[in-house]
Order: sequence, then structure tokens, then C-alpha cells
Amino acid sequence: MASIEDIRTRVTLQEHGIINTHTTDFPGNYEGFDDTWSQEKFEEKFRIDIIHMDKLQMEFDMVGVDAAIANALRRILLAEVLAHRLGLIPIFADPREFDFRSEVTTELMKWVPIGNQARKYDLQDIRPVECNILIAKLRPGQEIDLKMDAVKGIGKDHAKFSPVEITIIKPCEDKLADKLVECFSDGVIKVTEDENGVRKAVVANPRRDTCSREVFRHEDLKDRVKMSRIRDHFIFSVESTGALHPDVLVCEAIKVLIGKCRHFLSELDSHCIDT
Amino acid sequence: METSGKINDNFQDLTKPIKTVEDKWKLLPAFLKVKGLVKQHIDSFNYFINVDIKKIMRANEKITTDADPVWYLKYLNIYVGSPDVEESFNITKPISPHECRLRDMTYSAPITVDIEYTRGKQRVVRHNLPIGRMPIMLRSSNCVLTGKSPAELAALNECPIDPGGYFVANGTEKVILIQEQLSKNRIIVEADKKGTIGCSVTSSTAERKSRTNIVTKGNKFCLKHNALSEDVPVVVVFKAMGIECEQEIVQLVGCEDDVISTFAPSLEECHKLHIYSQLQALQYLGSKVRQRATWGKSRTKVEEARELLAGVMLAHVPVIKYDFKPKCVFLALMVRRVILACSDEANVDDRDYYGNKRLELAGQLLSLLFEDLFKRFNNELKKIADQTIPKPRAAQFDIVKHMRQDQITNGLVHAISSGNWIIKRFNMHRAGVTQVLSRLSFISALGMMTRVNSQFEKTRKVSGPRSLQPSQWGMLCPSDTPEGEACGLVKNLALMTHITTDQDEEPIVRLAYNLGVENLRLLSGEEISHPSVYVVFLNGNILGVSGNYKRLVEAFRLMRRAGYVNEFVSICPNHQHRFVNIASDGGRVCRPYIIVKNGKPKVQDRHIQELVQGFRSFEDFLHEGLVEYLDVNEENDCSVALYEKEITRETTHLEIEPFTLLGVCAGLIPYPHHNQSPRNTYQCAMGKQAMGSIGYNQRNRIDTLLYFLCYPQVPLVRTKTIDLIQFDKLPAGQNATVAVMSYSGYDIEDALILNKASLDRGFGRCLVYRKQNCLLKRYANQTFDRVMGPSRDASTGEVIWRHRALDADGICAPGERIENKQVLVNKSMPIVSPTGLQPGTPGQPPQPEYKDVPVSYKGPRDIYVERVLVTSNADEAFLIKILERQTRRPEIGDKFSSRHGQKGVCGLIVNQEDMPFSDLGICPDIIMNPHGFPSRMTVGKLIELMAGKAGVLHGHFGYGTAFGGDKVEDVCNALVEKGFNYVGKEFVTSGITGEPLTAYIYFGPVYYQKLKHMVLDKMHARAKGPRAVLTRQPTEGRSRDGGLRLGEMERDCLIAYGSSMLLLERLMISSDAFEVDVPLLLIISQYFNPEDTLRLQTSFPRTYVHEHCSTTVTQALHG
Repeated sequence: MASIEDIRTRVTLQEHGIINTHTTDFPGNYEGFDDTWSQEKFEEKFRIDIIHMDKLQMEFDMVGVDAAIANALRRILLAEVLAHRLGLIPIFADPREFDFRSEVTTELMKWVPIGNQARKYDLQDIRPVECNILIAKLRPGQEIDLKMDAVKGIGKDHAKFSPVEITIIKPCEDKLADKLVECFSDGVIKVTEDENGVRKAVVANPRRDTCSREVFRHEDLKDRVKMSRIRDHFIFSVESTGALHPDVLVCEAIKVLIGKCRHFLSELDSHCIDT
Repeated sequence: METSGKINDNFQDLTKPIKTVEDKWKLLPAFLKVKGLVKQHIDSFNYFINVDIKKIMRANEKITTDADPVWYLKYLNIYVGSPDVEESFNITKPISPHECRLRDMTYSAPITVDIEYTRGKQRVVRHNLPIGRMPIMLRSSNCVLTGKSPAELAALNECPIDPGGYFVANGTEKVILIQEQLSKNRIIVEADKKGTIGCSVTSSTAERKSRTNIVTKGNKFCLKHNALSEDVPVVVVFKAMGIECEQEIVQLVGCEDDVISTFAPSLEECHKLHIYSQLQALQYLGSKVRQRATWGKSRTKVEEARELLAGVMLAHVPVIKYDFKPKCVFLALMVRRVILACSDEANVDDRDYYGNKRLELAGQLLSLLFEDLFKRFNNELKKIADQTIPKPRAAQFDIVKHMRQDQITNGLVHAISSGNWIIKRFNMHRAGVTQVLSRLSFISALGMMTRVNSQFEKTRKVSGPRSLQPSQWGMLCPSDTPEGEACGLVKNLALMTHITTDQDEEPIVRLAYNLGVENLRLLSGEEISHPSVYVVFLNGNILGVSGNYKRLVEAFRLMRRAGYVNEFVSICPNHQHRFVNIASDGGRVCRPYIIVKNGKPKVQDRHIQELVQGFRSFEDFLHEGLVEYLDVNEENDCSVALYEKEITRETTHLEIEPFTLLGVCAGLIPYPHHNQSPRNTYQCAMGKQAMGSIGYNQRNRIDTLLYFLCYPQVPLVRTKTIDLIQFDKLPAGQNATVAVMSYSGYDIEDALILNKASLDRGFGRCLVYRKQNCLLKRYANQTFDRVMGPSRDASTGEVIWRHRALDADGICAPGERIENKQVLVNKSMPIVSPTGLQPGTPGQPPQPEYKDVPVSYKGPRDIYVERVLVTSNADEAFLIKILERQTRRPEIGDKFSSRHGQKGVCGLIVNQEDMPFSDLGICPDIIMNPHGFPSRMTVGKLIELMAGKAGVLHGHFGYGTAFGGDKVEDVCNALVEKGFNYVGKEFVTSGITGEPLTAYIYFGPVYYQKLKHMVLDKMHARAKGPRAVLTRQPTEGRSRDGGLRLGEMERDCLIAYGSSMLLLERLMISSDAFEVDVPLLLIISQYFNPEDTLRLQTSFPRTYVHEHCSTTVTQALHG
């Protein structure tokens, strides 16, 4: 049997299923553990490590929060952060026109400002995110003359407003035995030699594991390995479609989340008065 | 890396050079592709218009008249031209099939003849006289599309992938379905319901069809024929045919003891009838001949009997100058077969055996019809000559002036467009021979071209004709048949099946005699029935006997392989009955096999390499004797190895590729050999309902109903058949990422959960095009239909709402959005008034009165006008076609299906953030309930998912070809290589809670088809609405906004439940309750005159007139 510590903090991957998937850290659930939520404890445990960030992609770890909170952030990123899209082409902003060519790409889209937009933005500022997205192929004699209106929206209305392409939550760690390297993705397991010359496999980089569970196919290794994930460790990988930097997106998402919480609290308050 | 290399080999393109020995026959199907998938139809039609039509002409070449012995008309030649259309008088221009489709015309070519006839004293020769028009099969030898490059086809608005093989009659595409029949002119021995053995032959010649039976009556044998009023003893028939000596009869039938003893009572019967000579026999037969209305000279009974024996009975056996020998031998053989079958069950024939079947194709059916029409045409000419020649007249009688084209033209077009095949001389009347080519998807059109319709009645409850016959192997698809009443009767050809056309018998006869077949006429009875010889048949006719059948068969095959005999002539011995059957008739199914000699296949790597390099064609393989066609009968005499490794010393042939035993529709299924067999059958039916692309010319078509998928995709897991039929160019479906798991409760009973974001991005989105037709006619009284511009509101001057979509010309503008009940064409037609035209103002011609008959749109959702076509049809009437477009995204209740007979409707559409996601952040497009698997056993779908996933990860297509394809183990290893789970299951997190799911989820891409059944077309509800005039009950059916019937069973429920008021309301008030006003007079009169009451009640059935009503009766309730 797994120890209570394991049950509390780990999601265990077995050969045919996953156990301890549910959050259990509510007060009084386990003898000897005080799981009441407190600001200090949270502040002490909570951290965000940014692993990687560029214009389009960002990967960060969020440690010390409940799955529900992390999921809320993911859902907001997917559905509720504002973004501009034209058709399914992610763009920077407003209406534009086409010329004709054998291959119509987004490069040919030109922004026509309306109202005071011309004063606010440069012509170059507002454009499709990528200039080489193929829209249509034309045969001789065909042409496209088209005006488009860019509309602001969120992913909830229509998927093309979703600013994020992939969002992932992935807490991971592995416990191991010998000669496992093959069973895992490159770099997950490292073989070390101790002073006695005994070869020993050590988890080097659990982040790189793809969870193929290949070990469980080997009878000899099966029982010597334990795969589990840390319950409150989430790896987010945010890929922006280009309009905004991913970090801005995350900040936006957090703002939305804060806004929602505020709204909820105020609702609670107002209803308290009623009763 | 090693595994990926292995897989890459499997994915190798068909056109890449061959490395392994194994690959060597894989190119042959690709070569059949060059011949086209509907070759059978086109071949048959080509044979008809190039060869058969000339034979028909020659058989009916001369017309004479009784009125003038000098007058004659002789056909010298007949031609079918190339399709054209008459623009104005005597000016024609070539026409393309697409123009015919759009303008509702018939794609046909003129039939012209060269004739020689007498005009007065002169002999006149005329060339190229048109006698009618022949509908032309697309891609046949006379079609304008034949031999055109894709670019030229595109210029003609034609799809290069479209197989052709159908007709365009009055603008609709019609297919003449392949008809399956029992073969003609062959002896079939079978037991009837009571178990008595009989034998029958259906003789068929150009002039006549007749059926001759030998039946057992007690212990005697009788001849049964339609032309005879009663069964006659066979011995009498033998005597009537000139074999008076009983010894000779017995020798013909057979000299084995048991045969003689069985036959003896029949001889005795003849004696009892006191018939000893030919004359007596003929007199006896003459008294039994069924009287018919005879024209011309009357004949004696004896002559009639002799004519019957010579021309009607066993009509296919030629009787020259009353030499009945061949016919006697044939009849004796029939008797012998019955006798043998009586003693041994094994001698009874199986009529479901596919070697006994012949497939009738467009060419044969058209030739029957054409000959009938041609004969009628000639009769008409003769009748005209008979009538006109005796009359005195100024001008010389010129028959050419009386040749009318429309009879043949209309006869052919009418038969093709209605499907009613009426052939007078055979008393044949068949309905449903043609069908409208289904253009739902490319596959449904192709599937239709390979469909085989059985002549068997659907109502008979016999399983035999419906069950899968082992002899159908490789010829007919074992999976593709409909469910329900036509199950097993409608079949589909397999991929490599070819159907033969008629071959000339003359050279075969000569060859057979040269190979040692002894002519029948030189032999006595005993020599023919002797156990040491084999009787040689050619197309059901006895040629003679052969003492060394093995040598005959071998030599014959050798000649065939060497190309001295046509490749479709088959020869095979039948050891049971000691026959050698040579067949050269049309309608036999056959398929090519690689010849194996001395345990080695004749096709070698070298040949295949040459094939790949283009030095060699499939014809070369045939001509060099590497490959040959075998029909069902000949297959029985061969030992065919399925794989090269199975070749033994006895093997004579090698299968080209096992997957070709499936047809076009079943060929789409990946890993069909892992599925439960009915699932493949279901998919065959559903593949025809899947939406997709129908052809490269789909945007130019204006069909009554067209469905397109917006973004069709090539399946990730393909099969070789898909490559061969070019399904990848015109696909019907999309690759959806499927998670096999339960989600919410909306996925029970095969319902699917769809991802909303996927739908936003275009999954399952489709276009529905509908056509509205509007024909502007001219009438006999010089009036005509007209189209008026939009009406305006009198006060505001604005166009009224109903006409808002109209242009100034009164026809809707392309791109316009149309709402329910808005007008598309503002047409009005003149009112037919008894007074004729209304008198207008003096000085002006009278103006007819007009009535509005607008073409309007009716439907629940708005549509857009895609395009408008204004043209004229063949009768020069204005034709306006409007194409309406509707874009539909999937909604709850729309039907989807994978390629494994797993259909389901959409049960719920879920936002992406609520969908579960894998470690890579992938959300499924479809969630499928795992309960769909255990009972269905569609393992092929599970493998498709794995192979598709491996294909995606490695960037290539998976192959799931039947009896081959990527191995599961390789696919699994390919997954592991990319860091995925070996069995395809993934760690999935719930999108709702953010916590992992407790089970690993089977996750990957599966090809999904969107089926044509959509909720929008089916949704229907009604509160009040129209009622039928006659019964005053609510109308029936969705199209008439009908009510939903509370039927008998529902009624029973309500009775059982006891809700009497509800019953009363449903059955009485909400149905045909009706109020009548009845004049007071009538009510008063009922007091005095009971008859009036009766009349009142009969004229308003179920109406009660209440006494207490004072002025009117408004109560009208039932019973």
C-alpha cells in the first residue's frame, strides 16, 4: 500500500490505470496532516518557474496550487482571453484587401484603417500574424477581391478567437530501477556509476518523459518502477498565435481569473445582505 | 530506426521500382486501373454500337412488299455517329455530356444507314440516311470524352476521374444496371418442390426465346413446352424427328443397364399410343400444338408439328433442311441427364452456381431493344409500301421520304429514362432496368456502376439465390450487398472482374474439329453416349465427341495463351457428366490470374520492372501468355494458389492479389479482415451515403440535390483499393481525433460527443445544393408563360418582401439570401379560359389573362442563390435552373460513421475547454463510447486508430489493405519510438476538473464520414395544419406538413392506461371533426321525410343532426 504521503501528493500511474487522481487536501482528511488552507502556507509553497519563453511559446511550472485553479487558468486561456482573428487566420488587427496571384497568402492582406485608427496605429502595426499563410491557390483567370472585417471575440464564441494553441498541465516525476533508459524518452533516465562500479539508473529529467509507460511492458522491470506525478506541480506550455506574447496572455488570463473571483465575491456579499 | 524502415517499405508508393519478389504482382491491379473500373459497361456498349448493331442490320437487311415484287429496300451498312445536337434545320454541332446535363437533353448520336432500294424502275443507293438517335454511353468509343487528356476534359466541364459508363437521358444520368440471369442454352437438371427430377433448357436465338423441359411423369419421361398444350412422351418426339428405331433412341440415351431399365416404360408408352412411324408421331404432336393466330398460308397439323420441332423446340440447336440429328442428340442427352439424376443426387445441377449465370449489360439490353425497334421500323416501312404502292399517284414512291426518325429515338430514350424494357418479340417486360446515377459521393456513383441486379423475385422465401456461393469467389464482392429484402439478390462486382462479350463461334468450331473433335453427324448413337468419350459443347450446342479430352483442353488452352483464340474463350472439362464445355458467349464473369508452370509463376521480376518502366502493358502480359482470364467454370478445373509460397506442383495459377476479391465499396475499409463480417456489409451501404466530393466538375453541376463536404480529407489509413479507384482524389470524410471514453450521458446508444472548436474549424461542415427548375412554355393558342419583374408596394414604392431577392428580370440574383416563402422566379402563366383570349382595347391584339405561379423557396432555414442558369432545352423552351446553397455545420442529431459500420448521431457538442486533453494538449474532435466495441467486434477500427496515429507521428499514410496492410506490431513499435504508449492509450486529463482521468484513454485519429441524414432535413412538428380534402383528416408526411399519427399501438396504450378523454380528443376532435351548417328546411323535413335524413347522413358521413337546433346545426361529432 502506498503511504499516506504518497496518496496526498502523488498521482500514481500503474500499468492499467491511474490511481489517486483526486485532490484530497481538505482539512481532516488524513490523520496527522493539517490541510487547512492558509495564506502563509500557500505563499511558502507556491511558485512559478518560467522554463522557456519566446515570442510565440512559453513554458512555465506552476507549483503548489490545486488542480482546479490551474485548470481554471487553462480554460480561461483557451476560451476567454481576447484575440483577433480573421477567418481562421490569426491577425494583428483590422480590415484589408487582396490582390490576386497564383498563391494567395496573408502577405497580401492590407489594413484599411477606419475612424481614428489611422492616427492610433501605424500601417505596419496591424497585419496578419504570419505573412506566409496560404489562403487559396488560384488558377489563371481567377481572382479574389475581398474586404474583410476583423471582429473581436473570445474563444467561447468561436474557436477562431482562441489566442492559445496548446495549453498543458503536466506534473511529473519518476522513480526507477536499473536499465530503464531505453524505456523512457531521451534524457529522462541517466545511468550513473557509484564508487563500487555498480551501474545505477537515476531520473535525470522527468520533464522530458512522454508517459508512454513502456516500462510496464517489461516483466522484469514492471515491479521495480513506480511512476507517479506530483499532484500540485503543473507545467504550462502556452503557445500564442502571435498577436500577443504568451506572457501577456497568461497575465491577461490571471486578470480574468481575478476579475471572476472578485465578481463571485461581490455576488456572495450581495446575496448575504439579502438573506 | 529499424522498425520505421520496415514501415516505410510498406508505405512504398505503387510507382516506385520493385525490389522484392513479393512486390511483383502488386502492379497488376494498378494496370487494371488503366482499363477503367467500369470497363464491362463500356466494352459491352462498344461491342453493341460497333459490331452487334451491324449483325442486327444484317439479320433484318431486306424489306419487300407483297404489293410490288420488284420493290425492295436493302440495308447496306449501319453506323452510329458521334453525339451532336441540331442547332437549326440540318445544322448540327457536337455536344458535350455536361451541356446535356445542364440543358436537360439526351446525349445521343445519329444512327445512319446506307441503303439500296428501288424507286420506280430505278435502283437507288443512298448513303448516311438517319433513322434515329442512339443515346451514347459516356467514355464509350463514340463519346466525345474518349481519349481526351485531363485538360481537354476540364474544358468540356468533365471530371477526369469520372468513370463514365452511364447515359445522359433528358438531363439525368442513367445507369443500366447489370442484370444477372440463368445462362441460356444450357441444360439444367433440378428437382422441383415435390422432389421429381426435371430438366430444362432456355433456348435463346435472335428471333426466339423458348423453354423446353423434360419432366418425369410417373416412370415415364415427357417433353413439356409452352407451344404444346399438353406434355408429350419423349419417345414420340424422337420418332417425330425421324428416329423411328427404338434401338437407336436407346443408344442415344445410353446403353447402361440402369439407364435402359429406367427408360423402358417410356418406350412402352409410345407403343401404347400406337405410334410407330415419323408421320404418326407428327400427327400426334400436331394435335397437341397450341393453336395460334396464324398469318399467311395455313399449314397442316403435320407441318405445324414439324415447324415446331425444327424452329421452336430447343431453338438454339440449328436444324438445317430438317436434319434433326443434332437436336435428337441434344434431347437424348437431356433425357439421359434426368435418368442419371434420378439415381444419383450428385447429378442434379445447382442453379445458384455462378458458372450457370450470365450477366446482361447495357450493350446486350440495348441490342435487344434496338432490334425490336428496328424490326418495328422496318414493319412500318413495309406497311407504308404495302399501302402506297398500289395507289395511283403522280410522284414515284420514294421510301426514304417515309423514314421517320422519332420511333427509334423515342423508343431508346424512353426505355433508358423510364427503365421499362419492353421487348415485344420475346414478350419481355422488365421494369427498373435503369436507375438514376447516385451522385451523393464518388463512391456511390462507382458502386452503382458495379451493381448486379438479380432477376429473382424479391418476395420468394428461398435462401439459395441470396446466400454467398463459393463460386462467386473473386468475381463478386462478398461484403457489398444491401440489407433487407434485396439482400443477396443485389450484388457488386469485385475489383478485377471482367464481363465477356460475345465472340465469333466459327473459328472456335474449326479449331475444335482440328483438335480432334469428331463431328456429331458422323457418329451413331452409341458412339456418342459411350463412356470412353467426352461430349464437346460450344455455348450449349453439341459440337461432337472427343476421345482424348485432356489433349483437347490442353491444346486449346495453349492456343489461347498463344493468342490464336480470343482470351475470353474458356474451356473446361466436366468429369461428372463427361463433357467438355467451350464457352465464347457474352456475360460470363472472369478475372485474370498469373499462369504458373512447373511450380513457378510465369510473371517474373523482369516483367514487372518493364511494366513499371512503361515498356509493357497489361495486354502484353496477356499476349505473351503470362496472365490469362479464367471464368467461373474454368476456375473449377484449375488449382489457384493465393500466395506464392503456397505454390505446389499441381498449381496452375497464382492469384494476382487477394484484396481484389473485394469490391469498390468494401475496398475502402481499412483492415476489413479484422472486422466481423456484417460490419463490412454495413459500411458498404453507408459509404454510399457519405458526403464528400463527387467530381472535379462538382461546382459546375446543377443537380436536384447535391451534398459536398467543405474540407474533405484523404484518410490517414489508406488501402490499395483507395489508391486504385482514386478515392484519395475525391474523398468523402475527415480524419477525426477520437477518444474512446465515456463522457456525460449524451453518448449512450452510439451517440458521439463533438468538440465545438473542431466544428468551428470546419469539421463535418457541408454544403447542400438544391435545384429549382422553371420552364417557360409556349402554348398552342399563341400564349406563353412570362416572367415579370418584382412587384412594388403601392404606397411606399418599395419592392414587396416576397420579391426582395428578384432582379429586374424577375429572376433571383446570385448571392442573394432567400428566406422561407420568398420568390425565386416570378413566373406567371396564361389562364385557360373557355372564351379564349380576353378582348383587349380595340386596335390591339387581345391580351391573355395571367395567373401568378411563382417558384418560391420553402424551408426552415435561409438559403443563398448560388447560380442561375438561363438556357433552352431540346424543345427550344426557356429553361431556368436555380441552384440554392445552404452551408451546414454539424448539429445535435447529425449522423456520422467510421469506416467500420459504426454509425452514430451527434449527442452533444462540447466546448473545447471542457473536453479532456492528452499530455500533449490534444483535445479529441470526437468522443466515442467504448460500449460500441465489444458486441460489434470491429477490431479493424482499433487497428485503424493505431495505424493512423503512427502515420501522423511519422508523417506518412498508414495502409490497411485487406489481407495485408501494416502489421499491428510494427505500428505499435512506431508509436513507442515517438514516445507514445505501445497500445495507443494515453494519459488524459479532464477538462472540467483539471484532474487526471483514472483510466488510460485509447486516443488517435479515425476516418469519419458525415452521412447525408441530417436533422435539418428531418425535423418536423405540427400543431394545426393542412388537411386532406377527401377525409378532412390531417395530411401525412413531412413534405406536406403532415400530422403525427396516433396509431393503433399508441391507441392501445391509451386504452390500457385508461385516459379516455385524451383518446377522445386525439381520435375525434383533433382529427376529422367538422362543422356543417344545415338549412332549417332540411331539419324540418326530416320530421316528415325520413329519407332526407338518410340522405343527409350519407352525404356527411358520421354526422349527427341534432333535433333541438333551431336555425343551423353546428354539432358534428362522431359516433
